[in-house]
Amino acid sequence: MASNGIRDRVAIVGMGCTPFGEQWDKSIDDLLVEAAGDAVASAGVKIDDIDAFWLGTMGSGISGLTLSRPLKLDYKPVTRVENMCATGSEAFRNACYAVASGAVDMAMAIGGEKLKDGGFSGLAISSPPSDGTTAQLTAPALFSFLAPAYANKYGVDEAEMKDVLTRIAWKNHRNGALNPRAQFRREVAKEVICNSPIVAGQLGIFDCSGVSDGSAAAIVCRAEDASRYTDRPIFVKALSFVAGPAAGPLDPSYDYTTFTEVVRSAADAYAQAGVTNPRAELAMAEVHDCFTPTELVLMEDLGFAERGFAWKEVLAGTFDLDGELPVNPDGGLKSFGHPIGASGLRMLFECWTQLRREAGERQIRSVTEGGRTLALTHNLGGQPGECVSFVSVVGSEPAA
Amino acid sequence: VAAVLDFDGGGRFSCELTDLDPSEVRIGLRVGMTFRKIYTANGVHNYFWKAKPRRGGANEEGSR
Repeated sequence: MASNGIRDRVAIVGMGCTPFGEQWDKSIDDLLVEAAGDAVASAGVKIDDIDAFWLGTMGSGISGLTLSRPLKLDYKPVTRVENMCATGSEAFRNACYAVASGAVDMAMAIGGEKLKDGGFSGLAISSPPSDGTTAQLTAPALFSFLAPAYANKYGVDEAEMKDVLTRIAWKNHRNGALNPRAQFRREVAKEVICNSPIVAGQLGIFDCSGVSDGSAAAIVCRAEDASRYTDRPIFVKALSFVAGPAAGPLDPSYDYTTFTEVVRSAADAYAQAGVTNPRAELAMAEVHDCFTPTELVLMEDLGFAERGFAWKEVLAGTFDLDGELPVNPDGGLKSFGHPIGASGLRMLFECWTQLRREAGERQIRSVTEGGRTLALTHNLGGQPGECVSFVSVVGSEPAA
Repeated sequence: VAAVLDFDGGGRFSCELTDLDPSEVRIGLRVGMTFRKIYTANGVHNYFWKAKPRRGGANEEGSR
């Protein structure tokens, strides 16, 4: 099975990202216009210069009209894509392929979601009619299964496990406090996190990502044209997307301590990018911390920690902003917020910001002082045992 | 409380647990199936399987 990748053929030349959070005064149109406007300003182009658009939104509109109407597009191709919580990454991936194929010169990937004012406090996803026998579990309930399964497998006691999960939330809030676009912009004491009201299983309210409104956008062109628009383009090194067979809920061999989909997409992305030791080569990673145990498991699935040891690495601060490999330096889904269709592009926005050395107070030192030029995004859709996974690697250095 | 059940002899099913205190739930708890009301909509009752702890006997295995 070939996965040839498009390493160094496409570059990001402009990005935009709205603040995330409860934006009661803004519609999805307002959010998309703001992110698209910021992206074209960033690239120094006009909307008319963009040949094709990919819009990612899970539930804030259907069809390309959701974008062409607010942007007043001049009869341009607009494709709306959906791939659960990996929707924004899917929009980006398709825009990159359009440019790499030569079909268009410049494309925009934009994602947006309006979750507030929907009448639900969490996510409401409509399913096709069924026989009514499927267990109706919430997202926190489904992801909560990871915590006891991991603790049981690796001999972590319940109090230690709570400390590990608490530290992940504490770290992401701490990072988010430094980010003017984040939904939750303050540090939260570990005792507050640890004692927060329980939502599902061991997960308290602070173990869950922020339900948020927001939008983010990227403009991509052929790598050889990138210098026309910016002196610091970000090059696409790898794009990997997999949909799993979704057998976990039926198959007793699946043990709820890993996402096989992530393992497979990470291996594919590292092969495309020529990365052999991600922990030593990446400057940072933005990962899908929808719930704190998800981030824990991802550290092992992405190859940042040995199996069974991520919990110790978390406690040791390996993934802190000043740690060996900073994870979610922008605050992650936890603190930046999770407007579904926007999240994958928001992750890329932080890579763009950090690799261009524009992150201010939260600038990662391995970029400015350590010579690291690569960043990773990981975006997950679905639940443990049945999910889709996206991994990208981007970098500030062009093809060697 | 929801759980993932693994059956002796193979097979897996996710469902609600019933007739237990949530603090009793742990990995490896032995449970058995019981046919219960799942929900009621527009006056129509929908029945399907839930699981409850085996008090004494033991046939089914595992819960998370």
